[in-house]
Amino acid sequence: MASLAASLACDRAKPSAPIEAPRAPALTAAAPPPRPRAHPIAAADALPALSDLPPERRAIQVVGSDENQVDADAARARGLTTVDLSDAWAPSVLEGASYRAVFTGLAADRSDGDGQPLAAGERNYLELYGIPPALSVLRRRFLIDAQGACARAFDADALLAVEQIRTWGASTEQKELAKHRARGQRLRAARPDAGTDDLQALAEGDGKMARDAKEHLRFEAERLAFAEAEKRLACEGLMDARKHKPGAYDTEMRTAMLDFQQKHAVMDQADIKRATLEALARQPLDNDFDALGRVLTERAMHAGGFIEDGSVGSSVSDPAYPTYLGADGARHRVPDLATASREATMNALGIATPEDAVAFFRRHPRDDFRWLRVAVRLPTPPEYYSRTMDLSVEIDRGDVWYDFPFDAAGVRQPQPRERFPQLTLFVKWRGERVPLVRWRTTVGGWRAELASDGQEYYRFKGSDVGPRVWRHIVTAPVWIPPATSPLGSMTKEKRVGGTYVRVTNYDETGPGFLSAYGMVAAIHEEMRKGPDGPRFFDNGIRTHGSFDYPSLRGRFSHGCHRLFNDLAMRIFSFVLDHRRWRATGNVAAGSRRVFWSRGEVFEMRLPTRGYYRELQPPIPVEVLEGRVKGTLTKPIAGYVPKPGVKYASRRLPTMTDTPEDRAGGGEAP
Amino acid sequence: MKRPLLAWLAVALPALACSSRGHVASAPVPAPAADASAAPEPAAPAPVYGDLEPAASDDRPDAGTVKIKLIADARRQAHVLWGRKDLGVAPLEIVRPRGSAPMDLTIQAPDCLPLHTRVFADRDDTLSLRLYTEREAAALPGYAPTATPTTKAPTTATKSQRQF
Repeated sequence: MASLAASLACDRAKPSAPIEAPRAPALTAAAPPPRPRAHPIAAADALPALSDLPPERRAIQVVGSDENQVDADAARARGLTTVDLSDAWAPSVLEGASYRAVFTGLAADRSDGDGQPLAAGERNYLELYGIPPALSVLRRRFLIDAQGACARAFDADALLAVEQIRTWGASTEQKELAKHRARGQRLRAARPDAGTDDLQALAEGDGKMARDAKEHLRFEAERLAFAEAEKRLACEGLMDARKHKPGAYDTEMRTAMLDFQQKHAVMDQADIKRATLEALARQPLDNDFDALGRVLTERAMHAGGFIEDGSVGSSVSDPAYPTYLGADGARHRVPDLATASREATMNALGIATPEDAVAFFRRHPRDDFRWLRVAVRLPTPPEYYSRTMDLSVEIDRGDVWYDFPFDAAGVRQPQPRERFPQLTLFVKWRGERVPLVRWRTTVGGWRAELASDGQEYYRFKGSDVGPRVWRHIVTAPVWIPPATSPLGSMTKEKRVGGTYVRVTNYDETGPGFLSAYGMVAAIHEEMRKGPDGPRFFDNGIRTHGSFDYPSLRGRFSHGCHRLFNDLAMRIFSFVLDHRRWRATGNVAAGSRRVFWSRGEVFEMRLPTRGYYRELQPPIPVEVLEGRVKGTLTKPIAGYVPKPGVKYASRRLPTMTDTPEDRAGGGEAP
Repeated sequence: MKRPLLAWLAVALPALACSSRGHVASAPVPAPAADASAAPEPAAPAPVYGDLEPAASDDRPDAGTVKIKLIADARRQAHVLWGRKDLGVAPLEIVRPRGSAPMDLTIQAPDCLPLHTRVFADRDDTLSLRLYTEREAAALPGYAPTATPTTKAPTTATKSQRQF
């Protein structure tokens, strides 16, 4: 099913092997540093405490040890920014789209992706999909974890004693455990001959016995860590120990592990790698504190209309770190406003430690998160900021291989890449292009595709090279499946009105965080001169958010440039904050498709293509060819048979190359 | 909520891969490090706060309502179901808060296949329900001749079959 779906749209890719690298910085369980303290706010920023303000005028401010309610308007007049902490918050790019209500419902654990209420006790862990938890959700986590159920429930050292815990499916797991026991017996029997009772000493030798001993010790350490992981998941309330068989990575524990990883933004996808072990080894409140930092970063960046996150260089201390020319004639480093905004916001809330955060959430009952906002002195924007910034985008395709990735014998050929695709947003300032962010993205490549004869072939689905523009930003975009798309994944079971029924599956079409185009997309349009002015052509390529976060670590798209959903919303919110635009509104699609499945008839109704905004003028986008590797300098046009597949006909089917076929969605309005 | 496909696959694929081999260990394998002392501890005790669960409403300002008309030949006796709830026989009108979640409806009529459709609450809308007999459905994409019999008018028994 996934492979069929993958052939249809830019980001409908098969899930790949999990990746190890976490997006969130992995913290180690080192000895705690001295207790940090929030810096007191400047006296000039302190506003008079007022107690009788209506909710829409209220903001909070921590002065000394007191949290005061202050006038939000007065705060703004003093140059402070009010950062929205309420559960009604959503990125500004979602304004106007009806999906905004679904977003806030998902963030607050109130409803599912269709806007229907969640069952009691159900949670959405969607941060990796671009939906950070609402503050009331974090409040629940902090206040439960502050009760200390996990405080002494597990051994962090045992978790950190291994680099990973290897896991298998049920039957392989049984075999591996049996092999381990057999190895242990062999080693016990061999010890007298080796003249030592100490496995460690045995492991330090040479030969098969030493290798066996090393492997045995490693396995033992992993099993010890596994037992601690079981305790950790149970104490956090993610695993029902009664449904879990101790020592087995069964469905109950695998599900709990995935929930844990998604809850704490670890991208291991149920594998237990280092980043997962480090998160497991931390106390729940420390993980909650990290989550709070991420959530407040997002809120503060959107409140400030910022984008710079330090991604344009490896280290701000690096002399090659990008700079811009200031009015003072000096060169200034492009700032990391993400870190600075988060720190300013946490400081304004008087939060420097997990315990401070617990105190904050104890002060504020759930209902406060209907209105809560905090007055913050955010960093001063660099001087290149304005309402109409001269923005441009460059997408470097990185290393590109046009060669067919199999040899004549059908053996896959390595096509290593050292340089991966990157998207850079620039602002033109004092005659220079200043990079603001540089993020990993995706480009097209060799993909399996279902052809019109019903069989799969390979096809090079490249990303267009050359000058393009972002003219339309589409919020809650809808992918309209071509008529040839397979029906297998077009129904699903879900709870409706208290019972489970089969329904049409709108997950892949959207609008939604799982949609082929994510929660926001920009259409790449080619601008050509015409007799009546410029004409725009849509070749099906978009820069868009994607739920398929592992693909951002080196897989190929069908030609589109994917971003993490949260970053896509951040960059397009930023663009709307700093460019002129016109709201076109919901663009009608009027798509209706009727199909039969298992004795029932299903209608797929897609009334709109999404909520469109037109940038005036468009933003230039330059897609660089990248570094072409291998022997071919141009892609192979047409289908190429898959090695090892027997085809009904030797004649290759005709390949369509419409925008809808390449990415879906058809032409821009 | 329903687990996203990517996440669901991460959990389900290993299980499917194993079950397809049809091998089940005959004897339970002792977990090397999971002795009695290592057994998972029970979850945290219930919190003392009374407001930790999500609020029922989202405080959206009242945006009024929308009317969705569902049109069908009354002689068809087409019942409009929303989950377990029978909303009545089409033609009928549904009133929903504007901007609220879409509704996945099932239409059941004698001698017709169940029809699944979705109505949206963004604006007033009229939807003509096209019902298909078994013979008519043969022309639809995806049709396979091993179809189940057409449904009768919904009864308590029909509805209860859906409660799984």
